[in-house]
Amino acid sequence: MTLDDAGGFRVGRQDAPWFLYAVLFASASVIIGVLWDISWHRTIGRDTFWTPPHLAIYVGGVVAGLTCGWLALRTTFAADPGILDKAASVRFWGFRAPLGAWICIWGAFAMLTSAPFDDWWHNAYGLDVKILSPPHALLAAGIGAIQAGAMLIALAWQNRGASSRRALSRLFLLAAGLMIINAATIASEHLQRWDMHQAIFYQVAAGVFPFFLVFSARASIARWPATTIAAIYMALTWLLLVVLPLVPARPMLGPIYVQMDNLMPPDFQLLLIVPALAIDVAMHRVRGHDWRLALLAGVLFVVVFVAAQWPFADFLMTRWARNWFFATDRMPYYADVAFQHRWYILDPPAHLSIGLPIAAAIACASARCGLWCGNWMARVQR
Amino acid sequence: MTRTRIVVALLAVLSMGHVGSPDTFFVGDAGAYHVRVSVRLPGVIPGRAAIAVRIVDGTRPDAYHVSVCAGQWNVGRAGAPPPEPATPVAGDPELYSAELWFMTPTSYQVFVTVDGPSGQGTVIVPVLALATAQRSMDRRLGLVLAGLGLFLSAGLLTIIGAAVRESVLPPGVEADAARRRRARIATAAAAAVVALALWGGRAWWSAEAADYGESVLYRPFASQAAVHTTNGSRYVTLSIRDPRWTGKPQPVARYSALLPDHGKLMHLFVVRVPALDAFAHLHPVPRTPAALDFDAPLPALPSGTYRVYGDIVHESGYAQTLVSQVELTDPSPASPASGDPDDSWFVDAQRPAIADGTRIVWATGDRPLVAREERLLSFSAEDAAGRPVTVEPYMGMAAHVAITNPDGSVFVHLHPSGSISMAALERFTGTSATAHMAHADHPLDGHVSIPYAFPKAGRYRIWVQMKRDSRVLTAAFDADVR
Repeated sequence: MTLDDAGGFRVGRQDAPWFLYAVLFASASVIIGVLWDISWHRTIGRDTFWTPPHLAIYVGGVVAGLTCGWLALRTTFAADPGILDKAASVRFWGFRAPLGAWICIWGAFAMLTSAPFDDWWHNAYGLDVKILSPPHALLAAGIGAIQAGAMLIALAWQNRGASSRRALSRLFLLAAGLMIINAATIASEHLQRWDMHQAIFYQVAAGVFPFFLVFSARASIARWPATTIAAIYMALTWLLLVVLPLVPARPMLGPIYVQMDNLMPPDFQLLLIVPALAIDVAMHRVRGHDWRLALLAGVLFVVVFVAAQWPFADFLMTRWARNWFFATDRMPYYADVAFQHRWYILDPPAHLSIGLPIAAAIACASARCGLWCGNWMARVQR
Repeated sequence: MTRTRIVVALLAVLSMGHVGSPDTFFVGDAGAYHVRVSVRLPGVIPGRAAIAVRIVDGTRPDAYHVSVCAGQWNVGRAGAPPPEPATPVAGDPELYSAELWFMTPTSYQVFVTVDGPSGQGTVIVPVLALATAQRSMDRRLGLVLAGLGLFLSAGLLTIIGAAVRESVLPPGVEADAARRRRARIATAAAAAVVALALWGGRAWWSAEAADYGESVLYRPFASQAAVHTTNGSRYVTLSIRDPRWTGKPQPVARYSALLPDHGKLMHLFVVRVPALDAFAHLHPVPRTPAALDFDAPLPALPSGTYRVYGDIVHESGYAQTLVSQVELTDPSPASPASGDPDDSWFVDAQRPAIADGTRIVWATGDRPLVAREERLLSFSAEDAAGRPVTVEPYMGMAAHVAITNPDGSVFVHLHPSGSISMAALERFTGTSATAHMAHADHPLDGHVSIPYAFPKAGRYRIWVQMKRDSRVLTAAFDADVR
């Protein structure tokens, strides 16, 4: 490391460090594992700790934990830690490591803690019938921490002025895209297809997505960061939509109302790329006025998202969407007759004149929080 | 399964299907094979039940292939997952075991298929998948999780403090006093947020547990028993007052319309407590088609406090035992109104019932009764000389058996097919109660062997009822279960 002319530190010419790839692998492994696990529950149903999707989730946790644990030990104790720099780390109970590494380690512990908790939960209240439960919330927090840690490791190297900033920026956007898949998955119980003409759908989306899109965009040095992140979310989700049904599977729990012989794909992705593009445009136009930007980004998000998703919801209910590309005709094995009957019916809109302005207000608040968070992330150097 | 201490709320104890005895015991024929099947529930639903299939007189485990599968009452085999092979149990050539998932707290048909030297045969066992346990956390696991929770909370606060103190500083620059102060403030604020999150998590956990107790844990309909006198005759009325039973049952729901069991819409058992020395098995009829109030004339029973158990079965095969209590204060009227011809009662609990010289004996065997161990309860009708005699069908069966314990936490109604609901069996197999009743006059073997496992240790009273010479004989026995 050398002192540059402006008095700042400059990292020598290096490619992205290997451990960044390791935590990105971990981040991808856990979120792919989560989507695979949901597909498993909707297709096969029967569940043990040792299912392949569970292994993907926990392999991600273990890889992130061990990688960052090694990072912490080496940064703290090694006389010559190589590309690592004790000076570019933060302190944690006497140890030193990059901030992102500590967050990854915390995430790995949270995931490992959730395992016996979840096992006990199954024994106390039965197998999960809902995505959201206290042990799953802890697991999601752990997964989110690993994803946030991956983002921060990339950011710290990018912000310290590494010569490979462009590559680091791309890795950061990938990490952010993986994180937004996690956020969309957690919120998915309230983002169902038949809710897409309901105010609650847009309120939940407004609470979740502007925050993640805006803070990632603010921290990024890319030209179209929000758009790129949304594209990563859509592409990876769609990839799983196409790939998972290639895996043979059949329901192993009853009652079985829908027979199938391959894994059920995830729901077709939300058209997030459209409001994300609007957020990028807003961030290009409004500089130095974060409150004004939050207001604009929030309102734009809701207006543009409604304009895109509302008619798309109508399309998803048509027979034109019942194919391998959109896969709207795939129902879980437990969809009973009543469930099947409403599968292609949108719940009618209600109270939109109040609900959508509330969604816009939520989006503004979400975007403002995103800007606060992003402003800090843009300055992270360790 | 994690080591858990099972804590069952008093309400749940008093209200399990068959009250405190939710496991299923069945005896029947799978084609040419005489089988006994037990289904031990996991306590929570969804969960895995342990299935044991005994091929009576099956001596070569390798000669048979046994499989089991569970279909919810409304989808049957078509909507059931693939059959599970049952594996031979080492050391017992007759016994096979398997696990089955039950996903919904409702009525199921378990298909037991035996493939052997005499071809393939299948028998349907009606099973109630009831969630009856609300488990608390093992202390050791609780301590481990609490420790990890503390570690995670402290770690999170440390990370937040480090993030505010150092994360944006260029490498090598030390945090100044102002930044360290900001870090302390941020840590304190984060501690408040973490505390709030933990509190919220606890509230969420409590809400989930309450929801489980409300919507998954088995609760029979709330009911109230009362005694009233009309035209000089005393009646008992069991009234169902529950929001789940409005008198307009939905055909697709588990609480569908009532189904006659042994030809009766309700079997009402009244037992004097705490002595368990007076017992009646009555068959009240609903006052209206809504089936909210069931009335039966009371026989000549002594005054006292009586526990009241009302067995009902829905068209879904879902059976419930309604639980209530009633006081009999007035002396019994001189001429009780006549009720259902199959009503029966028993007051003298001091000796076995003897009528026309016939008596019922219990072959207890040499081995003591042990809690949760399946045994055959063998009863026989004998004449005064101890010779076996035939009996007449009593509501289609050779015998009816009721078992309870002094605190009322267990009550079960058995018959030679086991603990299953005959109405549910008829529903699932397509046979009807009239098929049994058509042979009402045919004499039956006076010896019955009923598979059952007492759910816990303690003292029990067993009433055995058989019919001979058009009279219902009732005998009472005491059992001490270790």
